[in-house]
Order: sequence, then structure tokens, then C-alpha cells
Amino acid sequence: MVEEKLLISWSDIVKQHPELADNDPAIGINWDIGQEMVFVYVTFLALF
Amino acid sequence: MSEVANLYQERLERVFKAFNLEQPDRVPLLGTYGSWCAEFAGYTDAETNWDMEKGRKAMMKVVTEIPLDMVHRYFPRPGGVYQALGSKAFHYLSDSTVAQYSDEHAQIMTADEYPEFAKDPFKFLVEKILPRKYAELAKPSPVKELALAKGAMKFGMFGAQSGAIVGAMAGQYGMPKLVDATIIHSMDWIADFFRGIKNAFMDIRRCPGELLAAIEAFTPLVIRFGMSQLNMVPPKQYPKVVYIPMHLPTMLKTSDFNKFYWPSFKKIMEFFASQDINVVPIYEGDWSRYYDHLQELPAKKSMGWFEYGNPKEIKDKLGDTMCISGLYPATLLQFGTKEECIAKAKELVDILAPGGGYVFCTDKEIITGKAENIIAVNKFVKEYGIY
Repeated sequence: MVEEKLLISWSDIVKQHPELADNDPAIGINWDIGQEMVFVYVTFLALF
Repeated sequence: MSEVANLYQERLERVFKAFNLEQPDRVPLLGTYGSWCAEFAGYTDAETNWDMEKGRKAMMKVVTEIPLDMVHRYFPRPGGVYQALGSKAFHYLSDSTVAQYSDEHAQIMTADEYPEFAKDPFKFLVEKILPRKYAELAKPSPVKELALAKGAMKFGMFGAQSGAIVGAMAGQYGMPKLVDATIIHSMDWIADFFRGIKNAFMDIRRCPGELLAAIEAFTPLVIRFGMSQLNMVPPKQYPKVVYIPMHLPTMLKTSDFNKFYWPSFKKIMEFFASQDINVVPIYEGDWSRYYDHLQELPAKKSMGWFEYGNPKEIKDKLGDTMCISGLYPATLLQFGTKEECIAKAKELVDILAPGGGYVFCTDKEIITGKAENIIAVNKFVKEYGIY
């Protein structure tokens, strides 16, 4: 049975797309705007 | 340029000259008003959190009736996001109160989970923290996915509407907003939102290695959180601004500050300086023990917002490193007479204004206060603070 997850985490994305790892994890300035918004939304929830 | 556009430009230039430790034409006035904006407009804080039209009216009343050069942020919280997700950390006790935060509800991670957190903080946030923090995200599918989507829509609407309000402040009244992004130091974040303050202090003694590893692993994500917010802001004439309220340092022993807090804070400050981004750290409490540390920060890249401290000592020790702001007691505006309020403003301006590098604002966000005192003090500084 596939494990149910709320979201696909960034680390799982990098496993599937290792080429993205070079652009991360600290800066994230190469993310497109949609991904930025999802990242900000999810991280915002952990804060506020 | 139109009269409003000229006013906007003048105000920006005034503030960013001070940021750059230069002397503007007069001391810039920064409005650091929190839920006082709602009070000033005759609303409760909760009303402005739920109804953005009331939030807009409150902001417009502030920028048209208070002498200011800039406001620090759009003040209401996104009540709709909390409701959509069933937030346990923030809730409203009644229609009239500000959002309540509970340290008990912040205790959503156990000490033995530090290694898992440090291994992949973002994965831990998504899979462990969010379902514990929000009741709706702990429910079975598809309820949790729908709640996440509903929260995202509320979050997007809040961003769009608050952006429109900020645009209206600029377009109609020439009033800029300072802050483009908000971040929290990784140790504050863990203590305030995941472990609770009491537990975090026990962790310093009981599992210092695990705590430190978690702080170090989390710091890149904190930086990225700031960058992601800044990347969504259109290009600006002056540097973008990220602000970072800091909670724990003055409660820490200096040796613990050196070990757990300072290295990550310095890394954050140096990173944003390297990207030509200005930082507004809120130095909560009395940081006088740490002034020597702060002298190591990149020069002309931050505006220190101080809560307490000797203004002369701060000016002498840090005036060549950072723009200085804050220190004006918000409680005086609430309880003092107009004469007492103006005398305090004169005292601070006399010490901090000479040579520039100073922005006038209160020591903390104003939650409540007498409007006549706030107006009188700002009017006084606007006239008395001319160079």
C-alpha cells in the first residue's frame, strides 16, 4: 500500500529530479513563482 | 511626477538614507502599529482579521491622520487561514480579542524527534508538524487535502487583498510599506512553535547536541523562506527588506547565545547582506550584553529595532554598523500625558538623530494607545527632527 502523504516533500522531489539539487536547498532562487508560493504557504503554516 | 508620487519618493529616500547611515532632510517617522490600527478606526482586532475591508479602512485612517513616512506592515492576521485549517496555536477567544497564542499548543514535537527533524526539516514540517498544528490536516483524505486547498485559497486571497491595500496606500496617499518578508530565527521557531519555550530551555541542558543540529539544519530553510517571499515581490528601487523578530536571546546565558543562537543569526544576516537585502532585526529585550557581537554584522545593511537599552550606548557602539530605531516606550503612549510623551521623544531625538542613521519608532508594535499622544509625538518629531 502506498503511504499516504499530505504533500510531496522537497526531498522526495529531489530524489526524482536530482538536477534540482544543485539549485537548493539554501537559496531557492531558481524556483518558479508557483513553487515559491507553495513553499511559502506550507512553511508559513508551520510558523503562524 | 504627480504630487503623490513625489511624496512617495521623498519618503522612501528619507528612510533609506537613514538605513544607509546617512543624514536625510529630517528624522524619518516609521509607523509600527499593530492592532492599534483597528482600535483607532473603531474596530476590534478580530473584525479586521476576518473582514479585510475593515482592515483597509483602518490602514487608510492611519496613513491619512498620523504624520508618518512609512508603515512597517499591513497589520491584520489572516483569520480565514486559521479557520480553514483548524489552527490550534492561534484562536480567538471572542469577537473582540486579538488572536491568542498558547505555549501549551506550541508543544507539538518531542525531544526524541530532533534527529528526524534535523535530517530533513521541510519533510518533517509537512508530514509531522502541520497535522499536529491544524486539526483539519489530521483528518483522513480527502478532508485534509480539501482543507489544505481551502487554506491556500484564503492565503492567496489575503496576499492579493493586502497587496491591493498596500498599493492603494502608495497610489492614493504616497505612503510606502517597509517590510517585504518575515522570517524567524531557527531557534526561536523551534522554541516558540514546535517545542514550547519551557521545553526548549530543558533541551538546552538535556539534549544540546540534538537541539544544535536541528537549529543548524533548519537555518537554510529559514533563509530560503525569506528569499521565497522576497522573490514574489516585484523589483524595487531600494533594497527589499526582511524582518526578523527575535525572542529568546535575552533569556539565554551568554554562553548559550554564543553556541545556539549567534552563529545562525550571523549567517542569516551575512546571507541577506550578500544579496543586497536589508534586514530589520527586532532586538526584543535588553541586548546590551550582545552589542560587541552586533558590531560584527555587515555595515549599512540593517536597521536595528531596539526594545530596551541606553540610547547613547547603542548609538556609540552600533551607530557605524546599523541604522538605529525603536526605544520609544509604547506604554508611555498608552498611559502618559502629552507633555511626558513629547519630552521622551525629544530626549531620544537629541541623542540618536545627530549625524543620521536613525528612524523614529516605538520600542514594539503598538497594540493599544491614546491616539492624541501618538499624533502629538509624531507631529513633534516631524518638526523638531529637521536636520
